[in-house]
Amino acid sequence: MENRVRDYREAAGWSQGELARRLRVSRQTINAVETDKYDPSLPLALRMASLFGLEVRELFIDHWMPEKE
Amino acid sequence: MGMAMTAERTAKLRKTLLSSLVGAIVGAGCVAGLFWLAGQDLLDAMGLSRIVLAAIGVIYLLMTAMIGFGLAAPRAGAKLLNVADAEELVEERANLGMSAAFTAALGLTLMLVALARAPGFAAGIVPGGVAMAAVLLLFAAATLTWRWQKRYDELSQQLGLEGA
Repeated sequence: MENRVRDYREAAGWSQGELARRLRVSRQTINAVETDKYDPSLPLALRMASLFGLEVRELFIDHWMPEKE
Repeated sequence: MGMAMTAERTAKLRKTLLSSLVGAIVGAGCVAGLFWLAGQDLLDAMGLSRIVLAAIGVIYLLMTAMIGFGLAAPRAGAKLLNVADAEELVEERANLGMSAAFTAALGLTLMLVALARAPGFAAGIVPGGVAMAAVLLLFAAATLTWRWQKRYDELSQQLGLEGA
């Protein structure tokens, strides 16, 4: 899923390792999310958004739209 | 952006092909070598199901060897193993080491079971009790390693599930 994790992480001045440490996951997980190879679980997505002071949908972009009835 | 993605895909494809080629050559070579060592008489006595079981055991042992190679030489290992980069092999050394140890135990146990003496397989070169003890030890170890899961974050757990 398209996301802006790298943008917000870099804006915060954190390395991948630093963000991983704050979220208590591995650096590989952060790298996989940023390169769109892995979609995080809902709890991790919520923690990420909370850490950056954002809503989840500001961090993770989904272009899906409901069909009009 | 487009060219970068194409280059990344090409690199990934190249890595996959290299890993597959090396794995196929090493795997086929080791299995063929072990079959040659075992001899035709033992293979005939084993039958197809035991041979397949032994071959799966060899594959697990080869996986252990490949992980061990990656841990010993991260730069070269990163080109063969399914990891993001060499740093991952360094950072995850402890977890990968434990995984390699369990994979080795699993492979060894499968080999012992495949070669275990039993009714209908008197030519077995491993006493039945030894194979049974290995299976019980493996189950005990698997139960204990349940606690390890806290050491792995969600990505590692997901990859482990997919791999299994």
